[in-house]
Amino acid sequence: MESFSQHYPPFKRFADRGHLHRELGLHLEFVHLAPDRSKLNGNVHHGVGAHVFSKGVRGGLRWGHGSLRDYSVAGSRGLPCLSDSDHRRSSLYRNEALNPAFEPTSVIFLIPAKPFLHVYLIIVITIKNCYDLVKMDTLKILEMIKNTEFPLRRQLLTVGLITRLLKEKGKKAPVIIGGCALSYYSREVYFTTDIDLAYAEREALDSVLKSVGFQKKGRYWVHEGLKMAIEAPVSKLAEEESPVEIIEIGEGLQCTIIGIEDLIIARLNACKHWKSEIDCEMVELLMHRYFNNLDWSYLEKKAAKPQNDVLSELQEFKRRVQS
Amino acid sequence: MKKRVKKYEERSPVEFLLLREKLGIKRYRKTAKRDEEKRKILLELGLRKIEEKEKDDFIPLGYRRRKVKITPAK
Repeated sequence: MESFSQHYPPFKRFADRGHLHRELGLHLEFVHLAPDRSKLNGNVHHGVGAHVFSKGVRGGLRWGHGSLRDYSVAGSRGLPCLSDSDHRRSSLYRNEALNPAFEPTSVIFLIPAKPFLHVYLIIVITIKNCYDLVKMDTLKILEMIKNTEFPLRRQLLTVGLITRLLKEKGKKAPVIIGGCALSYYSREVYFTTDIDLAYAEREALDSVLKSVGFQKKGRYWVHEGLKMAIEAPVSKLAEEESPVEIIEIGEGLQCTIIGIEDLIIARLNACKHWKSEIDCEMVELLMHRYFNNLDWSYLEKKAAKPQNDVLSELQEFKRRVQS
Repeated sequence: MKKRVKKYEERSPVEFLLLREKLGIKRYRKTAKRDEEKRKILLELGLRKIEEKEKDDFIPLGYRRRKVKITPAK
């Protein structure tokens, strides 16, 4: 943030994202200006407005600028949402897209003190929670889930939203297991209707699910509008050191998913003990695809455990894939 | 006698999931072995689909970290 104001004086025109990227090497999200303003004023704002820079999703800076109208456009795109009066109060809406992890974020306000003379007032504030717009953002994400085409991506968005709401409460992220995890690792070759989560703190999970419109029906939590079912069959992964994978799905949302090794072990179990042919086929598919990425020592150690007892099957699959 | 044609209703898979649970029907596990040749073809098709999807929609970001592209419905 310091280097930004050092290398990019506020009176310099804010040209475009590419320009900023070239000059500063920063990942930036560009807030589109309302077209008529762009035509009239180029990219320079006259009158009361502000330029906002904050830490973005992947550690880069996220920025927004303009007046009320620009911010209403920006807000509808999930970017920083401010109004003129808020600039004057030097306050900022708590916006999840702006600050997805809800960590304190430094924001630079560049407020044109004297329009046309390029005199700016620079205010650097560390914000945490100024306004609570969680509900608004949640509704926006729920709408996005509805409008998303592929089932796996709808499921990931849903888990991403739940993860974020849990993290806001200071809780850990749930881990996607079961068919949904298989659907992810098989890149949608396999499909499942429900989402299985491993999560220990049931009360927190239940309250989050309720808050986004899920209802308990039997062992499932069902969302009528999204046509989505969630189940939390286990409280945690078998071991603390179990590897996981992180999925980023935009809008500052993240999911945690069971590691490929544990998924293979689960499917090997179904293949051996339940004689489930589809699980045998999926093990073969996953082993072909991930053969060189697998942590073989972990996999073999896990397969040899008495509760699994699938080491010989694992070795058989390994031989088949190698041949 | 007038032939009655039942109107097609689009049902969500979640409804069936709940119905199955209500009726006490557990997960269906296909146990019959597939023809070896068919299995091979399906495996190749699956691997090809994975490869295609990974090109555009499942972008690696680092060790055990990926970005999944979200496509809004048309």
